[in-house]
Amino acid sequence: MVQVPALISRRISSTTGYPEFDHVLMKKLGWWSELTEAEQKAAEGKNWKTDLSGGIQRVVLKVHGCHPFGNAKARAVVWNFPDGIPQHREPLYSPRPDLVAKYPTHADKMAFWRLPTLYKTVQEKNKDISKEYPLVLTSGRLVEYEGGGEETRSNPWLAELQQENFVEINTKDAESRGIKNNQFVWVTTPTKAKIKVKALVTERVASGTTFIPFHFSGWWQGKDLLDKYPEGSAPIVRGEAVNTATTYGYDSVTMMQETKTTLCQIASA
Amino acid sequence: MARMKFICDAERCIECNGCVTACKNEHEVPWGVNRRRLVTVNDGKPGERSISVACMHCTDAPCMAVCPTDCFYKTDEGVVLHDKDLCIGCGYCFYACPFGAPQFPQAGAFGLRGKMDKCTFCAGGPEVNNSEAEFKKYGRNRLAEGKLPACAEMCSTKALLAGDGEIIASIYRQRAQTRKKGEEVWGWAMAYKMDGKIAPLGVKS
Repeated sequence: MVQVPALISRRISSTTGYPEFDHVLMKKLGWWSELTEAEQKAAEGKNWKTDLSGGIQRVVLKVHGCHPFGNAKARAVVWNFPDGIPQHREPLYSPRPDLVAKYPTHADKMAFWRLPTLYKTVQEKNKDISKEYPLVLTSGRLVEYEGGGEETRSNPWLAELQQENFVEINTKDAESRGIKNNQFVWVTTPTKAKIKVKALVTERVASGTTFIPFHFSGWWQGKDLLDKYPEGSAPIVRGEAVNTATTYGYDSVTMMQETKTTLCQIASA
Repeated sequence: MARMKFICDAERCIECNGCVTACKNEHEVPWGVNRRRLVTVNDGKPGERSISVACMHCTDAPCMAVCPTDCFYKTDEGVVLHDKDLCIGCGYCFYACPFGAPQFPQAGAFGLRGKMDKCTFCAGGPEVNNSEAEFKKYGRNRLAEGKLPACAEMCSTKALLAGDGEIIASIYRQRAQTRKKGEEVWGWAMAYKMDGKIAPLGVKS
């Protein structure tokens, strides 16, 4: 949310937006003195992007609550976007009820592309669900595989490089759950789904976040479905499909499902 | 005569496994035999580095020195190759190699290993160049076609260099000079001028 203090609108009257913050503007506003001596030395002649001390950004953001890039002039009105300027809105399933209260999502849409699409009701209903599912789960790509994985997991050179689906879990989170590297774990989500994957205990993810690649399929709740494939058609490598566990949510601007911003709990298998 | 070598620039390697896949595809290497592989240290931590390892075609190759059937030989360009028809799968070369280059296709009873297989610098083996027999046993012979190894050709960041030692050394030297210091100093601290101290991502030193 853009908070433009009255201070700026008084000193710089403009109906076309506010300039980006550089040393000139800082001095005009009388904020230059709020930089430390070292910061002033580095920021002289610079703008918020090129001031390597970060002083301009610090004063503008932390002290005065402004966006350092200014908010310039809108070049177009996007009729079909719900927010005139980008707003932060918490995902439907969020680990932070306080942020949900501060940055709620949209109202439900009765007909979006001819389908009822829920936002607010789902978010309200699941405000406190992080008590049960405290870890953020995001999904993403691997170098070795592509998309749903059926083609690339059938390629012997690539399949050999990633043979099992896994969840990246932070060292601290793993320790508190008694999970060791490379052991099987159950990942459960608010949909009551459960998937069985290997644990990759690592510092790649921060505490509170977990990651599962989405290229795998062919397992269902821990069972390899190899016998269900027609003879000779099964990919070499099979695994749980993370999207069988991810939650409801549809971003109206990008038209993307919210499968990358959900919650989970992890336990030893 | 060119002296063939590999250099893997750990500062550029992004662990994409392109080299591994290129080698596998070029020579149709079976599952479980890893002519080339990626080694990553400090995975997930600041200072994570990866390096691509295969046969280093040593000057005084230890594999050659310990082989009881003397099946190894060295080409004029310094490439270390071996004859699978003489190999008895004893595994001595594997014990001797500091890079783990020799690979064996079987893990059978009584230590049955099958014929040793390893990176050939894409130079095939003792069979006739580019023949069917050579491809079946050793993979493609790119050097005989005037090409360089597939792994280095496919490297997405040109971290892995293969070819005449003089040429690739000068390429690597030029990179090191452009970076100003050694690979241990390149990174955020250097890019953001923090007196040459290594700074983990986002942390000022």
